[in-house]
Amino acid sequence: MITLYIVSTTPYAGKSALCAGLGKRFQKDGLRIGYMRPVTTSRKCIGECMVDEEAERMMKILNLTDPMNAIWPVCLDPPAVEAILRGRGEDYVSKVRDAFETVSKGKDIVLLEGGSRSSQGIVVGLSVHDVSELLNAKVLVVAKYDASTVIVADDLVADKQRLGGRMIGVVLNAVEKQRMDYVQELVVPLLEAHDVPVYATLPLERVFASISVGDLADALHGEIICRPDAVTTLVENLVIGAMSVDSALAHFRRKLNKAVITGGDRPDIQLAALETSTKCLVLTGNLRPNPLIINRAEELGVPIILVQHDTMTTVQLAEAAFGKTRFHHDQKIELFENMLAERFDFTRLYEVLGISAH
Amino acid sequence: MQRAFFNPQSVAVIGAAREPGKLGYGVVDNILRYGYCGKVYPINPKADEILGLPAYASILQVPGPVDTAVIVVPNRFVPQVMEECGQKGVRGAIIISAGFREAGIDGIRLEHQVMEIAKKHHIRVIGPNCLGVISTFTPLNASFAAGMPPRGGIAFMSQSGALCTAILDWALSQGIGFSHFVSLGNKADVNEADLLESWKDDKDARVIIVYMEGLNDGRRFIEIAREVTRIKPVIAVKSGNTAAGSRAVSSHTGSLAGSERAYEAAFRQTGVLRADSIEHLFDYSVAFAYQPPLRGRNIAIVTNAGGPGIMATDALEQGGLKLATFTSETIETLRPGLPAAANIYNPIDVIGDALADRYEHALKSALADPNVNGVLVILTPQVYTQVEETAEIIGRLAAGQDKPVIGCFMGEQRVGPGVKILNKHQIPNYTFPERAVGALRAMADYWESRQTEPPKYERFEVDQQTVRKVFDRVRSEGRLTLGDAESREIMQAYGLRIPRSILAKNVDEAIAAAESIGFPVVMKIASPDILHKSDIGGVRVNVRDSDQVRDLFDLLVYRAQRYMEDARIWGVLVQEMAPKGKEIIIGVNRDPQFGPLLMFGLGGIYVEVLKDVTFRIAPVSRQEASSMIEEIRAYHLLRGVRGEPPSDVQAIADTLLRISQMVMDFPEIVEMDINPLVVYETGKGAIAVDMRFVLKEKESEG
Repeated sequence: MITLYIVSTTPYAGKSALCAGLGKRFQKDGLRIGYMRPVTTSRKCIGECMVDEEAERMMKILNLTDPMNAIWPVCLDPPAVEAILRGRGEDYVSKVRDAFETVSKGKDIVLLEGGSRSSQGIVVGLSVHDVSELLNAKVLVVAKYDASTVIVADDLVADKQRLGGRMIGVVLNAVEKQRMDYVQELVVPLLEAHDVPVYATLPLERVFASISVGDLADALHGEIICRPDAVTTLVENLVIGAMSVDSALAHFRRKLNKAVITGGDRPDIQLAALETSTKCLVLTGNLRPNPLIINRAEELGVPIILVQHDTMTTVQLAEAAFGKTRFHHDQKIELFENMLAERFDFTRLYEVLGISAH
Repeated sequence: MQRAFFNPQSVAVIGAAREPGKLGYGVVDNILRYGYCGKVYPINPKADEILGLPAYASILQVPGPVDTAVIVVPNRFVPQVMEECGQKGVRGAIIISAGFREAGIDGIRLEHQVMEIAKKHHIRVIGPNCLGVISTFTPLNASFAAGMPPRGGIAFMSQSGALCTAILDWALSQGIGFSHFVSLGNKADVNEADLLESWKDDKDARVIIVYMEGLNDGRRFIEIAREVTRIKPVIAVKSGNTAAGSRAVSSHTGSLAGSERAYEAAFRQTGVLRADSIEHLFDYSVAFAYQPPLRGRNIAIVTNAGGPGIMATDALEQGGLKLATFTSETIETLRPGLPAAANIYNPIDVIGDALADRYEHALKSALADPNVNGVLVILTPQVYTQVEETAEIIGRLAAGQDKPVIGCFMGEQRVGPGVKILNKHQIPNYTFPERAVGALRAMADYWESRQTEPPKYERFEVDQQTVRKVFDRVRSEGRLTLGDAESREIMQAYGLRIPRSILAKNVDEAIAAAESIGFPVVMKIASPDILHKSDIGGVRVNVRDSDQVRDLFDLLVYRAQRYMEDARIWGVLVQEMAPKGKEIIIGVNRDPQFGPLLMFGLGGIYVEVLKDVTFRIAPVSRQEASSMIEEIRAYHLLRGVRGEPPSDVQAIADTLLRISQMVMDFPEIVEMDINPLVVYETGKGAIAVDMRFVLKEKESEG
C-alpha cells in the first residue's frame, strides 16, 4: 500500500484539484484508492453534524464511501486550539493513526490532503514531516507560481531540505501562459538540479480562479432573481459599472465571462453589460431592476443577483470571494483532468511510487 | 400594410362597447363618425347591437371577411382573440389594449405570446399599448383619439401615444392636415422602418414625420430611410439625446439606446432631416406639405419693414442660404411699381405704407426671376397695411408656381385673419423670420441631399485570411485585445502603410537594422510580457546614429528587466521613424443600434480638447469619406495654411474606406483606432503609427 501526501507552500495552490485529478487517474488505472485529510482547520455545522465540506465534496468527486469521521480525524478549529492551549488537548497523533488504519484498509493507494504550510500542525506533532513519518507517506508539493521565481524556488528547496527523501517532487501550478516557456526552460532545470523532480508545469487558466454564480450569491448574501438554473455558471472577472454608458461599453468589451456590479437603478449600464460577455449581473442597493431588463437577462440566460449592500461593500465581498475559489465544479474538474493527462508525467510518478497500472 | 391598416375593406372592433365613455365605444364611434365606407363589425359577446350595428359574439361569427381587427379587450384576452383573428384570416391587428411590455415581466411574456400567434397566422400588428391608426383619405379613424385631423399631406408616426393626442389637439386648432396618423405603441411588430416603407409610394403622404425615442433595428431603418428620402422628405424628432434622457429611453424601451452621435450620423447619411423640437418638426413639415420643393439656396425676401428684413437676411446667411441676386430685367420691372424710397434690390422693401398692390408687384417680379429659388414674404401690421388682401394676393400668386412661397406675417391679433387666408391657400406662415428661414433651410437641405448620388461602396483587394487567422488565434487564447505585432499584421493585410520594423535580438542586429531602415529610427523593447512599453521607458524615438543604438539597446533591456525580472525579452524592435506630418485619428466603435461607427479627427488637442471630430456609420462611400474630412473645423489645416503644402486628403479617404471595409468584413471588431495616422503632403500618403483592436467574444453582440 502506498501513501501519497499532497501539500502546498501557500493556501489555494491547487491541492484539492491535484487530489481529485490524481485520484481519478489512479482509479482509471484500476487502483483502489482512499482519501483523508489528516489535519484540517475549519468545519461547518450542518444540522446536527459537524462536517468538513471540502472533505465531503472530495468523497463525492472520487466516489468514496468511507466513514466521514475517519476522513478528517483532527480539526484544529478555534475551540480545539483553545483546548490545546488550556492543556486539555487530545492525543491527536493516535487519532490520525487510527483513522488512517480505517481508511487504508483494502486500498492500493491513499491520498492525504495536507495543510498549506509544511509547519501546519507542528505544535500537536502533526506537521507535514510528522505525518509523513507517522503514515510512511511520500510527499508531493503543489506550488502556485504567482510570486517571483526566487520565492517559489526557495520554498520548494526549503521543503526538500526539511522533508528529505520523503518529498518525491513538485507540481508547479497556475503559471501565467506567457511565463510557461521561461519556467520550463529555466526554473524546472534549476529545481531538478536541487533534486526536486518536477512532475508537471500547469498553466494558469482563468476558469480555475473563477467562481460560480451560486457561490458568488452566497458570498454577497444576495438573492438570485432570474435564471436560478444558471447558478453553476462560472464567473472569471469582476467589473464595476458606475460610469457613462459609452465608457461602460468600452470597459465591458475588454473583459470576458464577467460579473457586472452596478446599481439596480442603472438600466443603461445593465443593458450594456448584457450586450457583452457577461455571465451574471449583480445589482446593489436592493433595487429591483426594470422588468424589461429581467426579461432580457432571462432570454440571454444571464442570472441576476440582487444584493442589499451598497456597491462599495458588494465589491469588497465579491473580491474576497474571488481569492478563495473552490474546486468542486464539474467543468473545472474535467478541465483539470485533461490538463493532467496532457502535462503530468505519470510514468515518472508511477516509477517513483513503485506502482504499475493494472 | 395598406390593406391591413390604412385602406381595409372591413374592420372588426374586438371589445366594442355599448356604453359611451368606454374605449370600445369610442373606437366604433370614431370609425362611424368620420365616414368609414367599408364594413364595420363590433365584437362583443354580451351585446346584440352597438351604435346601430349588429354585434357578434366572436370574430369567427362575422359573415364576411375581415381585413383589420382593432383590439381593445383586456390584455389577458388578447392571445385568444388573436388566435381567432388568425382563423378568420385577418391581415392587420391594431392592438390598443395595454398591459404588455410596458407593464412588467408578465406583460412581456404576454406580448411574446401574442406575437407568436401573430407570426403563425401572418397577422401584422400595430401596438400593443397604442392610440390607434388614422387614415384621413380612406377615411378611417381606428383610434380612441378625440377628433379627426383634416386631410393633408403629412404622415405622422409616433412612439408616444400621449404625444399623439397632444399633437392632434394642437393640429386641429391650427388646421394642419394629415394623411396618416399612427401611434406605434410598444412596436412589437410594425416599427418606424415598416411605416416608412409602406408610405414610400403612398401619394397622399407628401412628407413623413416621426417622433422616436429609439429604434429596434438601426441598420434596417438606414436601408429603408435612404430609399424613402429619395422620394419624399422624412423629418424626425428623436428624444433621449442626453445621458439622462437616454437612460430614460433604456428603461422605457428595454433596449440599449444607440449613441447620439450614431443617430446624428444615421440621419445625415440617410437624408432624414432632424428637427430639434416638435415645433421645428411642424415648421418644416408644413412647408414641405404645402409648397413645391425649394430647388436651390437663393431666396428673395419681400418685406414692408427694414428691421425684420435684416433679421431674415442674417438668418439666411447663418443658415447657409443666400439672398438671390436679381437679374437686371427683374430690377427694371420692379422699379416703376415701387416708390423711389423702396429698396428694389434683395431684400425688396416695399415700405411701411405698402398696400396689397405693392406686394403683388414685388412678389410677381421676384417669382419670375430665374435666379430666385424661393420667396419669403414678410408683413408687419402697420397703419395702412392690408393684411387680408395681401394674404389673398400671395395665395393667388403662389398657386401653380414651382417655387415655394413662405409667409412671415409677424404678430398675432391683427395678422390673424391674414394667416387664416394663407392657411387656406396652403402658404405656411411663421410668426418670426428665424423660424421661416429654418423651414427654408430644411427644404434646401433636403433638396441637396436628394441630388447626391446613392452611395457606392468600393472594395479593395485585401487579405482576409490573414486577419481571420490572427483573430481566431487571439480568441482561442481567451484574449479580446490584440498585441502590437498582431495589429500590424491586420493593418498590412488591409493594405495600410505601417512603419517598417525589424526585430533585433542583439546589439549588432539592431545597428544593422537601423542602418538598413535609415536614421533616425524608433527603438521599442520587444517583450510579450510588457504591455505599456512607454510607461516603463521602453520606447525611444529619434535615435540618430549607431552609437545611440548601441547604448539604447542595453538601456531598454535593462529597464525592462528591472521592471519585470522574468519577462521574456525578444530583443528590441527597430522601427522606421515616421517623419513629421499631420497627425490624425481614425477610430471605430460598434454602436449597439447601428453597428460600426467610424470616427475621424485631427489628433492631439483637436480631438481631446476641441472635440473636432466627425462620425459616419460604416460602410461609407468615397463621397461620405470626403465629406467627413471636409466637415471638421480643422480641415483648413489639412488644406495647408501659410504656405504649407496641402496634406494627402486622398490617402486619408483611402484609409477611412479600407477601415470601413475591414469592420464590415469582420463584425467581431468592436473597437479599433489608429492613433496617430501621420499624413504627408499630397501624393506622399500616410502611415499608421499606432493602432489598437478590441474584439468581441461571440458573434451575437451587435
